This record gives sequence, structure tokens and C-alpha cells, in this order.
Amino acid sequence: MKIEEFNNAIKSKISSGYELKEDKDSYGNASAWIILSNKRDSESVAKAVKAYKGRCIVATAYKNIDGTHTVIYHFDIEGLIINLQLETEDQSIFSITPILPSANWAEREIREMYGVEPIGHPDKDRLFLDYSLAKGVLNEYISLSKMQLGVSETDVLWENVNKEVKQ
Amino acid sequence: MSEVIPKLFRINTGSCNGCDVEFVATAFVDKFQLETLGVELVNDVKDANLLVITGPLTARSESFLKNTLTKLKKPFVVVGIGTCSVSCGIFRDSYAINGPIDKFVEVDVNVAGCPPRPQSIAEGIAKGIKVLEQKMNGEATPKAIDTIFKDFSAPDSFRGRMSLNEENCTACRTCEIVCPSNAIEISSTGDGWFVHKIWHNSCCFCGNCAYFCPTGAIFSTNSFDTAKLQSEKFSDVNVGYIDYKKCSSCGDRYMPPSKGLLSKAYTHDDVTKLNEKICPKCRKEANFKRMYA
Ligand code: SF4
Ligand code: SF4
Ligand code: SF4
Repeated sequence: MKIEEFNNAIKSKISSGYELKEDKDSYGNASAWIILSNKRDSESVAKAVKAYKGRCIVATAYKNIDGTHTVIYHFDIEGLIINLQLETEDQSIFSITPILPSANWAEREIREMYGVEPIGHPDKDRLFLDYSLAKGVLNEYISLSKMQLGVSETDVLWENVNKEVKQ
Repeated sequence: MSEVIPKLFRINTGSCNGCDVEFVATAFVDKFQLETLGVELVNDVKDANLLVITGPLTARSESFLKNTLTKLKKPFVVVGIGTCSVSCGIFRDSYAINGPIDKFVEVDVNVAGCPPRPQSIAEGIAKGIKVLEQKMNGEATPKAIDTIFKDFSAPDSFRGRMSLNEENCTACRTCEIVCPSNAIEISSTGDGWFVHKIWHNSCCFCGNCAYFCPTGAIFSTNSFDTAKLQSEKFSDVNVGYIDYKKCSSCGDRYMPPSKGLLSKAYTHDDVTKLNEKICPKCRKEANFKRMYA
């Protein structure tokens, strides 16, 4: 599979424009980045991946400083990695699971970890996260230094240790 | 005294499975002597009187533990296996962790280790059985129980309980920061001492502290004597005192260079002596005067 061929397949299908970047890893394996202007176009790309019998390997998400979210789907077509990047301001994306079932768990994971709703996803259930926890747990920012010294403001266990250990 | 047949049931509350693998080794390898304790493994908690729990109690597993506990018949003992079960270890403060288990059940014996060695697990179960016998005879749980299997020394390359050489420590706090399980705390007494504490029940035996310690003050021993009663949970701590010296010239407090570092830098002992009584500032002044005054 060549990047050019895939690009030709999606060119006319994407309505709002996109940026294409080519990349290579240290082993010389090619990968493509497709950065969408409009998240809606993810469905067109997913359809093209499906037509080439590709699959969604996994998806990545993160919360930006301004509160918006970036979501990246990672597709594989015969060894070519295609990264589809999109932005969302309202914590929602259009689910591609109805087109590519392999995106099922990845989208559910993004829903519970970042609170980004994949609209039209067939499965409403949680994947890993317990119902006692609010979704979007990874949206919280915890600095590395805070994490290294323990995030709890009052460390109850250490208070107990210090009661037992005389100084 | 009535004969007690310990019937063991194990529940995993979100362990990484490391502890469970060690437990299986303990249960099925003869040399760890679990058999000599007469333990019977049961697969229904209703028949059990010895509950073994691994894991830090994830939110998902909370209801399973609670459900298991309702089915247990008294008297029973609870043995927590792994640092996770004792203090949540490396998972402490994670959003999905509701443990440690003693928030939900009265624990009798804790076995620290990430995972513990089979010898420690066998010891923990042996101690658990002692407590069970006492409970069945209506006696109070003792404050301490002598070790039953005795030998807990691991091979030389093995990382066991951490220890501190106070002489070499400068209370630089590197170990406290690099420790992934928040097992080290360094505080000041306010009157000339720093206190360095290693809480064994929180340590995951990763060796990070020893690796990063600039003076080699913190090191792992090969002792794996980690099966302790619940009453010892917070007191099983290695405590070191580091002298925050008073300068004999100006009276300010200063941290003398560690013997460990000096011995790396200088081969002669007399250099060490130069640093003994005065702070770096006064030493510089004295040297300046000696040379130029
Ligand atoms: S104590 Fe360590 S080995 Fe045991 S379950 Fe926890 S993380 Fe895994
Ligand atoms: S043990 Fe080592 S790293 Fe920790 S405070 Fe002492 S000198 Fe620093
Ligand atoms: S070995 Fe050291 S760094 Fe690692 S958990 Fe134990 S005290 Fe912390």
C-alpha cells in the first residue's frame, strides 16, 4: 500500500480539507498523517480504510491546554500506518465503529478516559472504568512533581507511620 | 486446644498477578512447606477460614470483596499478600484504587513484597494459622509472633528489605523523590537531626533509591522477613538519624559531606578530618585567612 494511492482515494471524499504528512520510522517503515480540518470527515477516511481491508489498531486522545481534545486514530493497511488526527471542542466525535468494528474498544476507552463521546457508537457500556468513577479521569492535570511525591494532600497512611515511629 | 484445619480461599482484588503467581509457587512447590502446615485449598469461600487477599482493591473489585466477606463464617483470619494489599504500594493515590484492604476487612497478617518471596508467603500463612488457632480458642491476638520458618535470606543478587547507613546519608532527599511507592520520608526534628524513614510495607523493592543515592547510603539487604502482624503494619520502619551538625565556629547548622562521598574523592582519612567541625562557609573563610591574611 502506497501513501499516494490512499491519498487519491480520499481526496475527493473529504469535504473540509486536510493536511497530509509523510513520515518514516527508524526501520524505514512509512506512515502517513492525515490532519482533518473538520472532525466530521473521519467517516470518509474510515470508509476508505475499510475499502482497502484495513483496520483500526488503536486510538490516542489528549486534552489540550485550551480545553479542547485531540483524537488520533491509528489505522493499518497492509503494513502502512495511517494516523488520522482530528480536533474537537465539544467533547464529541463521530463514531467510526459502524464502519470499522475494530475501532470499537478504542472509542469506548476514549469515552471513559477523556469524556469524549463517540456519537453513534453502538455500545453504551463502560469498557474498563468502574461505574463508581466519573468518566474523563485522564482529563485531570497532575504535575509530575506532585505525582512523584504522592498526589494525596494528606497522606493518611504516612500519618499513621509517624504516630508509631518516635522521632 | 482443638485441632484447627486451615481452609484457604484466595481472592484477587485487582493484583497485577505477580503475587498470585508467587502464591501458586508457594502452594505447589514442596520446598516452601505450605503442605506441612496442613493447609487445604478450598474453592468455595463458605468453607474457608483463612482468606488470602492480593491486590490494592480496585474500584471494580470492591463489590466482589464485599460479597465474599458476607459469605465467610467466623472465626476466620485474613492474610494480605503483597505490598499492594498492605498499603496499595505503587498504585496508591490512583483514581481507581479504593484500598488498602484493611478499610473493608479486619486484616490479621500482612506480607509485604512486590511480590513477596514464597518463603515470606508461607510464613504469613503460618502466622495466620497461629492467629486462627487463637481465635478458635477464644484468645486475644498476640502483639507479635515469633518467626516460624526462620530463614528469609535471599540470594545475594536479590533485593530484600532496604536499609540505611546513616553515616553516609546527607538527607539530600533524592531517594524520597525517586521512590515510586512513596515508601521513604525524610523529616527534620528541628533540633539538629534529620529522620530518614523507610516504610517496608510500602516498598516495592525496585532498588531505585539505591541506584540514585549519590553516596551509596541506602542499600538493599537480602532479608525478606516481611510477614508481619497487622499491629506491626505502621511500625515496621527502618529509621535513620542524620546529624545536622552545628558549626563550631559560627554556630549555624550545616550538613557535613558524607563519609561515602569523601571516601570516593580522597584516599586519605585526614581530608575527612578537615571537614569535621566547621561549616563550608567558615572553612572557606579560614582557608582564605590562612593563605592571604
Ligand atoms: S504487590 Fe506487586 S506483585 Fe503483588 S499485586 Fe501488587 S504490584 Fe503486583
Ligand atoms: S539515602 Fe542517599 S539519596 Fe537518600 S537522602 Fe540519604 S544520601 Fe540522599
Ligand atoms: S526499593 Fe527504594 S525506591 Fe524502590 S520502593 Fe523501596 S524504598 Fe522506594
